[in-house]
Amino acid sequence: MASIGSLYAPLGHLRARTVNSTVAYAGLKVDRPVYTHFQDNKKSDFLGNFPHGKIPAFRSNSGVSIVEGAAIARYFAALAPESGLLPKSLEDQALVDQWCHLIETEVFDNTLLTWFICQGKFGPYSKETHDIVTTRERRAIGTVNQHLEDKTYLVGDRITLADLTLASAMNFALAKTLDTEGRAKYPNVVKHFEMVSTEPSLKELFGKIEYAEKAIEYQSPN
Amino acid sequence: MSANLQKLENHLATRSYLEGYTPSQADVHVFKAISSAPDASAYPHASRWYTHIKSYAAEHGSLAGSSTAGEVFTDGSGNTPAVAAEDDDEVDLFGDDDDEDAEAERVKAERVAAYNLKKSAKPKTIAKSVVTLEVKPWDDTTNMAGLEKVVRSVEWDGLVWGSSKLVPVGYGINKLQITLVIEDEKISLDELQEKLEEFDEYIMSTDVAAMQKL
Ligand SMILES: N[C@@H](CCC(=O)N[C@@H](CS)C(=O)NCC(=O)O)C(=O)O
Repeated sequence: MASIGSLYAPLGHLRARTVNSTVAYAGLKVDRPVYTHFQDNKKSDFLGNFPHGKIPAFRSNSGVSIVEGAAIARYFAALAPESGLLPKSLEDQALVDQWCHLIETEVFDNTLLTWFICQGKFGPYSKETHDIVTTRERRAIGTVNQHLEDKTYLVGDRITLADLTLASAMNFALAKTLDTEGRAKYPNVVKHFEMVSTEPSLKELFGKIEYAEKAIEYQSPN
Repeated sequence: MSANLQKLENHLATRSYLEGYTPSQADVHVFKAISSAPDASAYPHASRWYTHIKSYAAEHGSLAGSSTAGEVFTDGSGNTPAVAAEDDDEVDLFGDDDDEDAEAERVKAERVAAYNLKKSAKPKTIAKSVVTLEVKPWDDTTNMAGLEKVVRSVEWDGLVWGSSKLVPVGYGINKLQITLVIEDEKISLDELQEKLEEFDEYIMSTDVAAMQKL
């Protein structure tokens, strides 16, 4: 199979997990130009193609530039219809989009925010802000957990892009914010993660998962 | 063959499949031992799993793996009443069997009857049997509650009635299936059946459907 274009999405990068798992599961071939994050994205070559200057970024063979991990992943899924990552009916596609969006904006973004807050990257530490973000993250995880009470995959009975998105977000949350007690609270999400992250084509990408024993906390500098 | 639904439920609370992270012959093995979808309110995880494995119906023959990991969920020995336990406290009255499974129901009824008998503090060395008796009415006009009442009105030394249920036999007629435990020395089943058939305004016939030494 010929390469479909150039993908800027470092394999170990958590922001890039969804798009990289889509490549792996769909069995697509992409070129991965040598790229050093926080350096190459500031160079004029890169900015010429991708003015926003962020990754994930994809440049197709025909010269179309696409950014936003979710958009690239969806495009990749559509390129491999036999993978089933994007279901056939428009309704099911909408449901896949629904979960992808909810998981990315309400789970992943809040995990990331928590991480930033704990590193002091969002100004002076506020326990109150930290708690609000945790509550928002957990509300979304709780909704997904509830949905998985009677389902094995998020949409239909086979793996879709929504499942890759969830496993990718949970990869981050399980390592940073979901401690032992949190995992006990959302068992369906944990077992979903274990199922997806060990899928033969995804196993290598997800690697060995270290679950957080304790959620990350703010370490005061003094 | 039936499946131990509670055990299945516990296993599936934290796992997507019976073995590993993909559907396999272990799932197919247990799936086939279950006649219909487990009740979602009693067994939410088993129910979730059942629906999912059902979606692989066309591939059941070709899924990978072996049934071994599934066999611990389907009983070979599980159908023997758990009355061998020495201590009353150990008797599992409401064991793990599938409520919807007639066989499991019967086993449960036997356990209850056996347990009740044991509770009545009879010496343990006495030989006993647990019996499933089927009592047939004349037709669909027979008052089955009345029928059950006359059956249970027989109070003989060495006889303990257990649970019962109505089983359809067709044309709107039900038979009463009732469990009892008898002390072999004291009770003759022939006599008991004769006695029951005297209530001929209710009872057409009686049959011993199953009998097992305790
Ligand atoms: N909404 C974008 C966010 C992408 C993003 O924030 N990428 C970061 C990853 S660290 C980046 O490339 N930052 C580079 C920079 O800010 O210079 C997506 O989901 O793809």
